[in-house]
Amino acid sequence: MNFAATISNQNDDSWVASACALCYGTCSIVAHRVDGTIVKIEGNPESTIGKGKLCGKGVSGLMSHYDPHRLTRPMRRTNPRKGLDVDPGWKEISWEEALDEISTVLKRVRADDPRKLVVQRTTTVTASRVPFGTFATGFGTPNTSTAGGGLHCGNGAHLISGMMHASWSIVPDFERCNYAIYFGASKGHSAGHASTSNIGLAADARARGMKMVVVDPMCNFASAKATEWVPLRVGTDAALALAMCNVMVNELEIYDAEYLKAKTNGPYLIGPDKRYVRDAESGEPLVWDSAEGRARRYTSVPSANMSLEGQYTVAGVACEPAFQLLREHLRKFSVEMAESATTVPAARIRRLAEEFAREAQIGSTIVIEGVTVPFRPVAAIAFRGSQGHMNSVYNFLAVDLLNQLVGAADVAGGCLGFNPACNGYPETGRLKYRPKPGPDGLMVTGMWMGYHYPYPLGEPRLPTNLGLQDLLVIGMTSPFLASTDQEAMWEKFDIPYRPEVLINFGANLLMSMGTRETVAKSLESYKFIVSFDLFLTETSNFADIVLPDCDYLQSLDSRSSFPFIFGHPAGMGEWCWGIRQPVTDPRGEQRRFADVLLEIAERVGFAPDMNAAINGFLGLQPPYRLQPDQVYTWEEICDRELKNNFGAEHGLEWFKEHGVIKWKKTPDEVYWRATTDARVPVYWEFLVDLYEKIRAIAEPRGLSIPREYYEPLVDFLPCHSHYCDREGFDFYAFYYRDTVHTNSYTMENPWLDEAARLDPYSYSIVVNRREGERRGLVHGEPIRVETETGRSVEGRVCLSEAIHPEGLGIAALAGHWGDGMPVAKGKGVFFNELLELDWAHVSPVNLNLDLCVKVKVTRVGAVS
Amino acid sequence: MVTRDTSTTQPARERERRGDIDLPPWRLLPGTDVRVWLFGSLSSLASERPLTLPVPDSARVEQVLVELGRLLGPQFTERVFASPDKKMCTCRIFLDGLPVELDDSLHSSHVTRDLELILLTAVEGG
Repeated sequence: MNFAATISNQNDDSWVASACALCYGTCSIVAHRVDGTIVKIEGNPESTIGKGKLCGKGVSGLMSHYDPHRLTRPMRRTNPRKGLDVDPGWKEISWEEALDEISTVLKRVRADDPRKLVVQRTTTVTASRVPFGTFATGFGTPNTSTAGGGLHCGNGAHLISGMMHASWSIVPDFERCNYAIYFGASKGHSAGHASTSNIGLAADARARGMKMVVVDPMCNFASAKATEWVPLRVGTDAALALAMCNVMVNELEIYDAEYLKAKTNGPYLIGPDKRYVRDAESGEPLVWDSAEGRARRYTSVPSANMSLEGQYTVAGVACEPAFQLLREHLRKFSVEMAESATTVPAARIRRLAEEFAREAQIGSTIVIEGVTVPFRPVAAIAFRGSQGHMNSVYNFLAVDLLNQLVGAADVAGGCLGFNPACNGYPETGRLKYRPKPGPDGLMVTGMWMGYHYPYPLGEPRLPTNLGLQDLLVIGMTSPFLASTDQEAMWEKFDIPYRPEVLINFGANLLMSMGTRETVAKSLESYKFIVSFDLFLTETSNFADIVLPDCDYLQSLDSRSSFPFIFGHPAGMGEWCWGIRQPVTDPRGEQRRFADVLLEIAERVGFAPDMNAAINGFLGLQPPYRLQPDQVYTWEEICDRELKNNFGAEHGLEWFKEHGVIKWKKTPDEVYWRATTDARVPVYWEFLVDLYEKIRAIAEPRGLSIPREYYEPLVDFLPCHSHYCDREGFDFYAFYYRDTVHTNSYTMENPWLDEAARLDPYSYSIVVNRREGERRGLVHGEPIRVETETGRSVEGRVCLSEAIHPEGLGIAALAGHWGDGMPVAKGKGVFFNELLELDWAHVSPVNLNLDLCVKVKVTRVGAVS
Repeated sequence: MVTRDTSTTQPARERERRGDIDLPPWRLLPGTDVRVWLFGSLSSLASERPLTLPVPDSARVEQVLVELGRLLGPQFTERVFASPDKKMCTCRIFLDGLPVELDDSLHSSHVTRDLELILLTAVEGG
């Protein structure tokens, strides 16, 4: 199919190939434009990204695009007072006035201390990553953030997926998996990474007969289509997964010893100090060579000869293989203990473990396109739900341990990272990457979204970043840009500056991080805020200047499906690189954010630095590299990236016409694990040193670091909510991502709003029917949900069998209160109002916010 | 695409001639110059861009960075190095436009080369 490559407003009847941005799935689309007006959006059948299908959000995009409440003029606040429910007194200004004022402020800040600038963006629009990342880099500030994205959903899932699978997320190998178990994940049944692609793949897998077990407090999008729903107490996923591991290893004695020897650090000898026993000369970890009966460097022993079990003495030091320690450690997770923690009956846990272990078919292989690869048709995956807790790291890792024990990691039928290895575009060899061994032989990802690699870990240091990630080095997105204790934390570590200017792109952080009062207080402390927005959100009402942005149907992005570890479907098939291109012109004075950023950089005087950052981010090489002394448009930069990767004949004009470029995947790319000489840690030895280093910096300054979160063996650690035994507080409140909405953004879309209003769950508070009726609750009546600290929300109760008896589910992120999105205003329940946003409520390892809270439910009125 | 004026001032070699800075230990070895471009948060550490440094033919990237640390002080070293022999993963180095690591050689061969350094942002979200 050939597509239109230019915008025409007259006598035009064209289909334009582009990419969706209603969520970060970035599915390929074609937009039907008639006389300059978009009349329909469909999936692009030429593309691998969605394969011609599009979800309900995607097809509704034109309703957001043509929303009469879109911003069309730059505006400046006239009311210097900022606060919740304060009228900013917006006044329309020209772009020249706006950019002049912004540039003047930024010049001053950059000369003073560039770290005083915070750059924040929504993760929904993936196209913002490079422009805003390079803007911040060029300006010279390390203080960037993605608001709730990461803090709520990714600090655990993404980092551990990177550590264990060299990718941003994990999915079953839908084409060949026979048994998938989901823990708080909805891959293939909702929004997110490779959403529509996965929906098709998951549906085909279920039709083929893949058994799907979903462990989740709520029976919603994935559970409803599953073979089996396993309701559990909120936040106890690790207890269940570790009990399953215990059954497999210690009761059934089913595990893939060859895989554990060759592909994990299971054979590495561990001394009494919990650290590797190392070769005195080389420093390499030692393993026990069963053939020679002595300890040797891991690099000098064939994996088949490495002992996984036993007790040894090496140079006078008593030691055991890491797997031996893990095996013994797992014994404490009996099915009875897990039943007590999770409420899942012991017999059921044992049965699930047995099914998973036996379905793994350990030792089997399969021939794919002439290549023999290991075959393990089982997968355990996790995502936001299970990792959104204090125990974020271990909850996710415990689930992945199921895969590692049976060797079902990145092999046929198993648990796959999203495209960790790529041999590159055949005609140029560009885009080539592959996991490789790093320090101690552990895997270093071949591709990552930024330069915060999962492994090797950064060296903790006295922090200078506002988010303290330079101390708490596993954390990505930090709570401290908005937390109640931010000033106390900054004082503890003598942070020598305070944030003064915020540049925000589309993030409604007032809704996406914590309670509105908490985040509002942090916003009030900025001297100057600029916000690029489509609508006046609750957050843009704190801005000094609001810039009217173009939406995805008016914008250009040269890499809508890249990096492939983020949103490109995993498994066999084709590689596919697509672009996003404007389907219509900007309305009023809307401008594309990337061009605006380039202009600001030029005005402030750091355009050469931004050019250099773009070179680094995009991997541009001569002759397509940007020169410091040249001024480029975003369109020119996109053209250079495409030519850099695909050759001079495949520039922007080619992509505008053809939409996507594709080439075939090979088994060696998809099932890379067997042929890649890198190990993954089933024993997180590096946490021992990490703890000591962080503690040495933090504790003298009054910040206690709890050791139990830094133990090398995966554990189940309860959340605050599990310790709450106050009378009347007997529900665990949690939120889930509604399949008809993307965070708070799509609530303004009238089609999606209508769908959500028809859905009994979207805008309500879901309580177990039996438990609700026992308390006298009536379906549909207003209730108040209150935390121990007195935070509360109100909404209509939905009594349902589809939720755990102790659960209370709220779809995120509803409850808008601003006037700038009138369709969204007053709809649904604002869950984050229940959350505490401070150090005490984040994982002390990865800074992920604890998203469950114990609540009391009371009636506030009768059914109207 | 338009051209911007980015003329440089006071090259390091000139300052070296005036005795403002000490000779690096390798200065007397046969070699040539490398132009060092510091971008982003590193740019404020030097009063000029590019810095021009004399290097021996056999120089490695790490030696240039150590020399830059000597010239620009601990602020440079702290930002670029995670430990004495390991650079920050956020620090990206390009030699004539191609990515290089600490161990890579400059292979100057009497041709002036361009070495770019930049600290990219690290944080990503969901």
